[in-house]
Order: sequence, then C-alpha cells, then structure tokens
Amino acid sequence: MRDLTIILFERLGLLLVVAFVMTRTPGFKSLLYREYSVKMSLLHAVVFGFFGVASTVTGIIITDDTSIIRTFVLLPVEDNQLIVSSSLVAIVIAGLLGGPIVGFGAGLIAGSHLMFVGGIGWLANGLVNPLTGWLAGMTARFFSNERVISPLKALFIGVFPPVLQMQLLLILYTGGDGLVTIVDQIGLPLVLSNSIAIAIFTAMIGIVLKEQENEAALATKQALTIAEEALPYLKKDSNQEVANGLANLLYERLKLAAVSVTNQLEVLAHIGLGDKHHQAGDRITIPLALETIHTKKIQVAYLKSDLHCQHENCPLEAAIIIPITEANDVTGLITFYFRKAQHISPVELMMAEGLGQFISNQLNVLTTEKLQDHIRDAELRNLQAQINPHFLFNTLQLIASLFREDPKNARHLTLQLASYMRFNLRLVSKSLVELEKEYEHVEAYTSIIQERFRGRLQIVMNKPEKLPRILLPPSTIQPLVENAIQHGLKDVTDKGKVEIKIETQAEDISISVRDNGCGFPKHILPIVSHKPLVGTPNGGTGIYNVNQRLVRLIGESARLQICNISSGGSEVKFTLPVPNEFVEKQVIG
Amino acid sequence: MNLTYFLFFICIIVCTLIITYWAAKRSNTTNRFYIASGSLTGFQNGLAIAGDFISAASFLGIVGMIAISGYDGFLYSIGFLVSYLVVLFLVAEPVHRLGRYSLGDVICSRFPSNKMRLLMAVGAFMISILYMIPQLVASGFLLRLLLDIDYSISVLVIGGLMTIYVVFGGMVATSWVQIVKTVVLMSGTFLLALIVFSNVDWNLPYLIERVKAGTPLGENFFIPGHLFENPLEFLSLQLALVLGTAGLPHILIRLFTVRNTMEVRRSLMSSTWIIGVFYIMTLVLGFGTVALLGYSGLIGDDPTGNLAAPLLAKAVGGDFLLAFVSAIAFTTIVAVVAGLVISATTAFSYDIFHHILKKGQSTEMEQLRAARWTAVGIGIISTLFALRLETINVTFLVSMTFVVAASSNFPVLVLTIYWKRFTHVGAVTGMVSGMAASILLVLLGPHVMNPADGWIVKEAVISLYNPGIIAIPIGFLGAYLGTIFSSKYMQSEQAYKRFFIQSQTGIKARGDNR
Repeated sequence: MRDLTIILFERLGLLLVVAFVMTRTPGFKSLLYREYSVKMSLLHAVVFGFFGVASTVTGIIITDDTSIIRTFVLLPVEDNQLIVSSSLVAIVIAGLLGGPIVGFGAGLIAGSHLMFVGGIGWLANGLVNPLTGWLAGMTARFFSNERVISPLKALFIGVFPPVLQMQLLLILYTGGDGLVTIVDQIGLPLVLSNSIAIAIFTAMIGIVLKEQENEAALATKQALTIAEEALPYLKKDSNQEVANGLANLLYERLKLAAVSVTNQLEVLAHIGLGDKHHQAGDRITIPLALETIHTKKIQVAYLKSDLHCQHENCPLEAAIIIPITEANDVTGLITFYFRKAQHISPVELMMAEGLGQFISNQLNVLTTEKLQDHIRDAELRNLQAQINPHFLFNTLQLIASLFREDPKNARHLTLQLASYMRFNLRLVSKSLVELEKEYEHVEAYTSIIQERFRGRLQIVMNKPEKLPRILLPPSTIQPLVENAIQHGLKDVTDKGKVEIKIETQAEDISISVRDNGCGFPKHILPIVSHKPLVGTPNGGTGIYNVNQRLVRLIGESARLQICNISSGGSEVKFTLPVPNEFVEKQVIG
Repeated sequence: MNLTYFLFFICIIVCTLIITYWAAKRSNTTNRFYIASGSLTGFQNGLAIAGDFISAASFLGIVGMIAISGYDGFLYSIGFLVSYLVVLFLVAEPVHRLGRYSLGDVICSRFPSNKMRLLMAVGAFMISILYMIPQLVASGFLLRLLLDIDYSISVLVIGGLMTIYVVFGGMVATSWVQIVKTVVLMSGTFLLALIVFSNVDWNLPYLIERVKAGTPLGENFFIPGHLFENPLEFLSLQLALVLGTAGLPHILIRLFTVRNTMEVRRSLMSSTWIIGVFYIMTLVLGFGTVALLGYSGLIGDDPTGNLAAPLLAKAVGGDFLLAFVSAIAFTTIVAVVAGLVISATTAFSYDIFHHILKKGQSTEMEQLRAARWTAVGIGIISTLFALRLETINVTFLVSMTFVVAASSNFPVLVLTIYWKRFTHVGAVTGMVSGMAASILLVLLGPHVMNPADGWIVKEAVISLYNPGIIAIPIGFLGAYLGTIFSSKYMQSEQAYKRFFIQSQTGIKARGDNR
C-alpha cells in the first residue's frame, strides 16, 4: 500500500509540475481572468477534461491479483485490469472553480476516456467523474461564496471523491471478492494523494489570482503616477510637444512595444518598435481608430489585420486604442502597441482605460483653468477700460473752462483726452501692450490731472532716453498714479507730489510710483495687493487688479511691492524682466 | 490501530476544526454565539436539526436492532420520526416567535419571573447533561470497538472536541459541524445501501430470501413481537419518543437559528424528510447485515448488535469502507454532543447568569465570556462523568431523557402556548411533578432495580423500562392541579389574547416592549 501511495504521488507530482508551468503562462492566466460566459465555461470544461485525460494516461494499472503495472495508460487495458487514475483531481478543481456545469462537462470528457480505455470498473470510473464534477460544483456553492475555495477546505473536500469512486466500484462491480481487496489496497493511497493534490492545485490557482489582484493594484497606482508625471507635458502649448512628451513618458514607464499619440487626423508622435514606417504625420486610416474617435470608447485590436499596417514585417500585432476627450470631443488618441495579442491582459486594459480617463481629466482641468484665466483677464480689462465718469466730467469741465483763457492748452488737453480714451478702447482687445504705449497713456492721464490740480500737485516723470521694447499688461501704471492722487494725496492741498520713475537695470526694468501723501494705513498695507478692498471707505480694487494681471501674465517676479516711506508718503513698485518675449496670446472674448 | 482508520479520523477532526476556526472569527456577539444570528437558511437548518437529532444510537443501534429483531427494530425508529409532526404542528412556530435564545424566553414571555426562568434553565440543563453522558459513554465504547483506542482516550478526544467547537465557534460552528455530519452520514448510508443492493444483484425478493435464511427468526422476522413483548411497554416508549422531542431543548433552540417562521417550517420539513429517508436506509442496512453476514456473524463480536453497520461495511467493502463508516459514526457522535453542550451552555449562561444573576444588565462581552467559560465547565464536567461511568450501564439515561422531556418541558410548553387558564403556579407544579415522577419511575424501574445486574438488586417496583405512559400524564396532571388551585392568578382575558396573538402571528401589541 505504501508503494502504491508513493507511485501515485510521483505521478501526481508530474501532473502538478505541468499544472504549475501552465499557471505561469499568460494563456492560463487569461483563462482565469475572463468573464463568466457559456464559451468560457465550455473552454474550462475542455481544458480540465483534458487534464483529467492526462491524469488517466499517467495513471497506473492494477490487475485482479493486485500486481501493479507502471507503464503509462495509452491503449485500452485488459478485462482483468483496473486503471488507477487521478483524473478526479482535475475534475474537482473544475467543479470548485467553474461550478457544477463546468465540473460535469470536464468529468464527461475524462469519464468517456476512462470508459474507452476500459478494464474492470470501467462503468464506475466513467460515471464517477461527471458525478464528482457536478457534486464539487454544488459543494463549492453550498459551502462558500469565494471565487477560489481555500486550500484547507479543498483538502477536506478532496477526501470524498476517491471515497465515492471506491463506493461506486463496489456498487457497480459484483464479480466477486477480488474487488474488495483491490479497493482496500488503492482506497487510502487515492484518498491521500488526490486530496493533497487538490489542495495544492487550489493553492496554486489561489496564488495566481492573488498575483493578479496585486498586479491590478499596482497598475492603478502606476496609472496615477503616470498621470501625475504627464502633467508638465500636458501644460505645454504646442500639440506636438504634448504628444512627444506623452509618448516618451508612456513608452519608458509602461515598457510597451510602441506608443503613438495622434490628434484627430494624423500621428503626432510614434516611439518604439516600427518607428521606421510608423511616422509622425501619417494620417489615421485604421478603422478601429476612426471608430474610437467616433464612439469615444476604448478599442482593442487583437488581430494584426486590424492594424492595417502596410509594412509586411511590422512587429506590432495588437494594440489598445485609447481616446483622449476634451469637452466631450475626442481630440486625440493614444495607442499602446503590443507584439502579441496575449500580452494584453485585463490589467493592461484597465490601466489603459484608467490612463485615458486620467489624461482626459487632466486636460479638461487645464483647459478649464486656462479658460478661467482668460475670462478673468478679460473681465479685469473691461473694468479697467471703463472710464470713471467723474474723471470724464471733470476733464470736460476743465477743458470748457480753459477754452476762453487758454485755447491752446484746451486743445492740448482735448487731444490728450482723446489719446487716453483711444487707449482705453483698445485695452479691451489686447492683453499686453508695449511699454512705450503704456507710457503715452500715463502721460495723457497725468497731463490732464496736472492741469486740473494746477499749482497744488506736481507730477514728475522720469524715464530713460529710450524705452526698451518690452510688453506689459495695459493700463498698469495709470491706476497706480490714480491711486496715489486719490488716496495718498487726498488730504494734501498743497505741494503734493507724484513721481513716476522708470529705470532700466542690467536684467530688468523697474517702474515705481511714489507720492508724498499720507501713505497706506497700517491695516491695509499688508493686504492691499492680495484682496480687493470692496466696501471699505478708503479702498478699491485698483491695486489688486493690477497686481493680479501682472502676476498672471508675467509671473511672480512682477508682483507689486508696496511700502510706506519714512519721510511720508508711499511707494508702489514693480519690475519686469528685460528681454521678455511675451507674444500676444490668443485671447478668448 | 490501522493507518486507514487513523487518517480518516484525523481528516474529520481537522475539517471540523477548520469549520470552528472559520466560525470563531464570526462568533463575536451573543447573537451569533447563541443562535448564529438567525442566519441559516431553512434547508441548512433542516440538515443541522437532523445532525443534532440522529445520534450514534440511531445510526448504529437501530441498524443492529433491525438486524436482530426485525420488524420491531424498525418500529422503534418510527417514534423518532413521528415526533417531528408534534414539533412542527404544536410548538415550532410559537417557540420561534416567543423566544430569543432559550426555552426560558418562551415561557417567560407569558409568565415573566426569575423563578420560572430558573426552573426552565435547570430543566434544560439537566436534560442536556442527562442526554450527553450516555452519548459520551457510548462513544467511548464505540471508539474502543472500532479503533481499538482506550476508553478514556476516546472519551477525552470527543469531550475535548465538542468543547472546542462550542467554546470557540458557538452556534455557528455547532451548526456547520452538524450540517457536515448530516451530509456525510446521509451520503455514506445511501451509498452503503446501494452497495448492499448491488451485492444481491438489485433483486429485492432475493434480499428478503437471504434475510429469512440469515436470521434465526425465519419468516417471523417481519412480524412484530420480538423486541417488545409487552404492548404497554411499546406504547409507553413511543409516547415518550413522540412527545419528548417537542421538549428537547437542544432541538428547540435550533429553531431560533433561522430568520422567520417560513424558514422554521422549511427547516422542519427538510429535517423530517432527511430523518425519514435515513430510517428507511437503516432498514436496508439492517436487512443487508442479516442477509450478508447472518445472525451469528453479527452478534459474534458484540452481542448488542451496535456494530452491525461497521461489520456490514467491512463485509462488502473491506477495511477501506469500514474506516469510512467508522469516521461517519465518529462525526455523528461529535455533532450530537456539540449540540447538547450549546444547549446546556445557553441555559446556564443566558438564563441563569445573564437574566437571574446579572438581572439582564451584563454587557455583551461579559455574556460572551460567561458563555465560553460555561461551555468549558460543561465540557469538563460531562467528560469527567463519562470517564467515571465506564463500568456502569447508563443506557437508561437515554430513555430517561425522553421521558423527562416529555413529562416536564412538553406539558408546560404546550399548556403555556394554548391553555387560556394556565397559571405560573401550574407551570411550576407541572415542571416539578413531571420531572420528579419521571426520575422516580426510572429509578424504580427495571433499568435500576434489577435482580440480575441492576444497581439495586431487587425486583423492580414498576415493571416498565420506559415509564412514559405514567410520567407524562403525571406532568399534565400536576400542571392542571396547580392551575386549578391557583385560579386567582389567572391572567386577564386581554393579557392572554395579547400573548396568544404574539405566539400565533408574531405581532406584538403596541407599547409591549417585552
């Protein structure tokens, strides 16, 4: 009996080795992955059924005088021989994994084979397989609702199939006492070897499934990381740069055969295998890709013919095509290329889907941010462009009063007003102007103001001989001057002084507006440029708006610096980098 | 000991321990510990009830009895089956509706008092212990016969296992051990029966012929009168069996483990079917034993006939099948005793500790701890008893259990549920008189007083081995008289109506927070 146990263990060991190798292949893994369907059930039943057949082939033969024949069971056996097969192991696994129907199907295959090879108890051997498969499926349902039963439970369940087999042998074979001796001899070895093999097999499958879960978790994490890393590329303005950056990143991180990034019409970047004939600028012709653009759903090309590559020896055979959507429209595609269709596992698919969504979301967020900036900027400029009616009335009145005594000056002021207003009109449509224009604007404003407060206010303007050709947000200096006069000098009736100074330095140009008035009240000073002072009697939004636009359009370095001067009055100052190359941006609105 | 036997036993033990481990992770509230939080389905509970009920005495004893005494042996088992009709029609649904964890709950929902609860708990405790001791003793003998292990080791193994199941797994583990037992027992018996048929070439007349040839009774094998010469004795036994089940606490608390009365009905239907089919299969096994082994082959090893099923297995399937059948017998024993331990534990820790000692104020944690320690205590005590009683014949305890249950618990339960004028005094007198009468009658009966081998070597005062026919009327009479003499305590019409509606429908009157 001990010898028999050891032989059975050896044979089962052989099968377990095969099973182990099988569980390591992507093919088997994908078998476990797939959704439950009639086709999959059939496939499972066939696979496990053939595994059962293999177990029978590697089984042993015992004759009615209890001598053991160890050759493989390839041909039908004699009438006085009994096949000791471990086919039940595969059948039980099929039942536990796939339910009663899969178990029954697998048992049917293994059982028919056993009936075919014949021998003593051919009927019992043939019947026990489908019966066991069905029962194992029912048991798995009855005892637990986990996908793969725990190895310990499997060990226990595995005890019963051989017992059932022995009992069926006893029921269906009544040809004498010979069988009782055989059952005595093979019963325990079969129980031991089969139950342990079932437990080990279950454990192996459990490990594969656990690995998959881990992989899925890792994939999710990786998708998140990549989406994070992709952010700087996505912020790039040119589509080409975005495409190159993304393709590089994905290719490096995901170790794919190749990655391509396209817009709606053509390939923008292709990195990896096949870059000789897949090139940027190719038009999108693959029907699946067009379908992706149309349906906005991820598509998978499992066949090489789906990829429509003209190049005969193209190494790319499968692909996942991921749509990138912005504001409900597909604006581009990311395609993951694979060398073999089997390389596409649900993990990859999940990751691709996740990445597509992440990137689309990132893009949407970026677009929204940009849009908001533009809207805000346009709002601010509109606000700035509105000329204070008081200023207009006062100026008109001033001009009217000057007509008689100083027509020349009146004419000058009228022109200045016209210039001032023209600038303000243009303000609405431009987000940046040249410093020279801005200077003219300030000049127009100051000459009007100076005339109005003649004798009481002195405005000094200092600028270098030649103003450098740099750009700045329109109407940034004038509100500062206006602020200095209206707030800084509001209680000063005599000898008020405003000094506007433009200084060029090595790398930047600084612009300051200084007055000799009361200075900023202490409680306002720290917040004046950070929040609009709405509702306060001595405040407004002027400085805040200027600061906002400077920071947004030029950068942190252009932030307003505000301080009170110890000798009285205050200074508001900002610097602009000298060779600045701000191009006129496309402005919405 | 044979290696095959040993491995099968290890397998059974490991499996039940796995179940316990799994259940232990879930038995963290009293609700789970006592009634598996009502989570079983009707069918599962039916399997568990059958597992709770079919003792080793049924499996091994009845097969032997049929093999030896023919028709009467089978008739013996009829009482066990019929008793489920009483449970189903009279008590099952009201018990489920009125009780929470124990029988004490049921009675106290009409007569709320600590005395009443204490009495019910003591009754349940006693019945469970009385039933457990003969089971343990029998299992000790059985394992000694089957496995050739020492008596005390086998008692210790079974006592230890049942304690572990209940202490760690509570009702969840107990239920699943019982379910596994029923599945294994039923399938094993079924296949064994098929093997028997196969051995007679599937020819029933031929089997009958061989039975007639095998038994010394010949034609008379199929005619009554070999086990019960005294018809009164037979009637008395059947009366105790039929009415006793409806008073057995370990069966009745199983009715709390399902969600609603629909499932209660389903539980009882399925368990009745299972038990019925089982007894029919024992018939086949009994016939098979006589037919294939012959009478002398059966009583050669053990004159009681208890080894009929294992011997049959050995004859038709060799050592392998014998080992399997022995493993089934072993599972049968542990499942039943685990059920008894949990019923005794509930009686003590829930009724006595929680309600009476702590006045219903103990926390969940305290209750659980108390329940676990109670289970440990009960396990140790009953194991010690069983160890001490090796040399004494304790089979009378089994029939006494049924008599006690039928004459104390059963009258009180039925009258509480259905009799309008019943009072708490009547309940107390019924319980006490029934219990006292049955114990006294057994002590005076030939089980104990026997000139040949009794404890008291004297002619028995009462000639009946099973005094149910006297004790049960005494229980009812006690309850009736107690009620008549305490009619001033009679409940108001309205109070009874409220109770009756609750017991029949589960609807509680508004403002009734009990």
